[in-house]
Amino acid sequence: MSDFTKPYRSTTQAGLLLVPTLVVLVAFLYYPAVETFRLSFFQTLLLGTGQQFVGIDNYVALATSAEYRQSLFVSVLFAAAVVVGTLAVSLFISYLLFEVRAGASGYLLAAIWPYALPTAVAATILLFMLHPTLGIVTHYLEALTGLTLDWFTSGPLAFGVLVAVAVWKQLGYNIIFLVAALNNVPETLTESARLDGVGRLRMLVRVYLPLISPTLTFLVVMNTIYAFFGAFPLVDLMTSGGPNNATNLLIFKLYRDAFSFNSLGLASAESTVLFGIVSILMYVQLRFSDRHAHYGA
Amino acid sequence: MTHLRLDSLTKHFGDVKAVNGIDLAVDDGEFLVFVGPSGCGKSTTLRMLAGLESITDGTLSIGGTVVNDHPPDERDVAMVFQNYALYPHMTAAENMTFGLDSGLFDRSNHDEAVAEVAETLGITDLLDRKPKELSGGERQRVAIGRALLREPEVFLLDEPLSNLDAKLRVEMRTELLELHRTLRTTTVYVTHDQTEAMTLGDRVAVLNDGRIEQVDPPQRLYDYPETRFVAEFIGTPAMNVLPVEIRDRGDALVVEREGFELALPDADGNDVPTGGAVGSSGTFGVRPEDVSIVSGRARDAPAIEAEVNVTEPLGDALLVHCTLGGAELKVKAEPRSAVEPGETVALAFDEERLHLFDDDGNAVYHSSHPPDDDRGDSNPHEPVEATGSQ
Repeated sequence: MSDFTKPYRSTTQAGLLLVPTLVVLVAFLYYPAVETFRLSFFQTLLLGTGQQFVGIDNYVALATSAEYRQSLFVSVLFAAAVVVGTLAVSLFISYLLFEVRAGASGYLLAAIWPYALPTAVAATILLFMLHPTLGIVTHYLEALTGLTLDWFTSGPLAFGVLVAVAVWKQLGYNIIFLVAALNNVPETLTESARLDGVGRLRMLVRVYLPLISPTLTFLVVMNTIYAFFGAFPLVDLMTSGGPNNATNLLIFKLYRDAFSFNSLGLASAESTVLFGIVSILMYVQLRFSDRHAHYGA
Repeated sequence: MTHLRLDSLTKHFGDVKAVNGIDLAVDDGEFLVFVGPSGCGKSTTLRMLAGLESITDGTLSIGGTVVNDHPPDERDVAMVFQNYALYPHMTAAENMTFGLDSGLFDRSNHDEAVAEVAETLGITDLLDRKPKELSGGERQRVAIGRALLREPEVFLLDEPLSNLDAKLRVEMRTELLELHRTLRTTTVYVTHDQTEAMTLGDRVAVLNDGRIEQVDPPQRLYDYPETRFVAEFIGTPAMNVLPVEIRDRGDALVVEREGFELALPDADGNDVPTGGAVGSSGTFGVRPEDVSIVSGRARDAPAIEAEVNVTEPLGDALLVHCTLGGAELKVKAEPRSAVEPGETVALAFDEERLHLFDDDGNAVYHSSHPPDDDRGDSNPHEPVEATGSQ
């Protein structure tokens, strides 16, 4: 490497430039992570005071808790529904956006704006719109279907509403990436297919999907993380884990265990397990995609 | 028999007139080449033929049917793209057959047809490879194979050789010619490379600014350019063009500029605008190979003197850049001529190969006439009409 390609003058200067980032990472990521892992072996009193080492008791408690297993099951089901739902809906919308000629940027804007809305704001607005007795959406849905959609008392309904809202909130993010990926497919491939009269669905399944598979992999990973960690405000504001723990996702449960029930040690163990589950999922997804995703020509 | 017919074909992109009223008829089995500089509308015209670009105005018919509003797949045309347009995740064989099937996962048996086409193109061993495992030439063969397999009415080729290296380009050119000779499928070929145009085309259409300047067989295009644009575009090095005054000297028409006067042979009876006593302006054209350097002793004819600026040995010839009356003139001299920069040389023009263009750039005079000129027997030097279309 010749000297003038280096963006810094000395190793010291390079180190100094890295310090702010390192400080933030250490203070807000690495230190809390290590501290959480340490706490998971302790039993605590009020807000971490009075710590007492209990070994793997917290983990044993989790493994034997029916409530925790229910939460784990709900979380995995929720993640699967959100990942599949988000990808399916955003792929459909993205393909339409990709093919539309007039007013494409207007549609794109409309499709991605939910992503710009803070999750808490979205949750509050949607809570009103979907409210079992006050909500305008619920009102018309009930009028059209003749069903009673009281998702404040029905667990499966509440779960469904939460999935729908989580998917809706994540659509924008997925659409941005999918539209970009579709537009990166060389136009001559599309034109060549048009000359051959290849149908749109066949083109999507046989050409576009394989070609954008790296983006799809990335989105599966990001959506999984979102489903496990990012849905907290939705649960907190819309269902509070209920009814009957039907929407008590791991991320919400560990928050409540830590700050409502003051079991910091137990919550830390839950955090560690959640981290482990998501890490393993990431690893499996990336290994799978390495074998199947198509990177470049 | 006319196979493809373009009537006043026009394409506008907003305010930009990309193609500006093209009239052209392509015969059944003909190999027609569109050539022109970047942005002349040649690719747009081809894409209109393919149906990939809508037609703003005019009509397009293939085999007697007007296809203006037909989608691409109903025109029975196959196109080969500059960047090959191969599906990167499919093997060569899958690439060739993908367009033939219609259902979501249909895979009819095309093995025999694929094997036959692969044999023709010499890609039998490559059928199981993906595009990234193929060289540029091999990819283009696969793309051509895909087009062949369709057995279309018309082949459309959009600069198919531009991404290949020089040697491969020449090889593929020959292969394309042989292929066309075997199949005799009507072919429209777009290129910016005039050598490619000349070597491949039964006829060549030179495009400029969205219009056809001239459509003719290659040699005729070279020998009898209808416009100054064609004269300068076809041939390397390009034709010398010198601004001149045209004057009627009484016994002959002469063109003159500083340090140079030339009587035009056989100029009678054509309508070179002489402008009477004051003379009129025009452009005199002569190709570098039609100018020769007269050696010192053989100067019997009145020669034209020019000063040598630079010499470029081309191997088979020596390209001499001279100054003649303030303008540059290129001369293709004998390869081992002893000519040095700074020297003054005497030049002679081949009297059979002189051209004159009016101020609008239209040819008004060629010093010989086309051998098969059915228009010019009674008046051998009637200028070829530069109507811009054929």
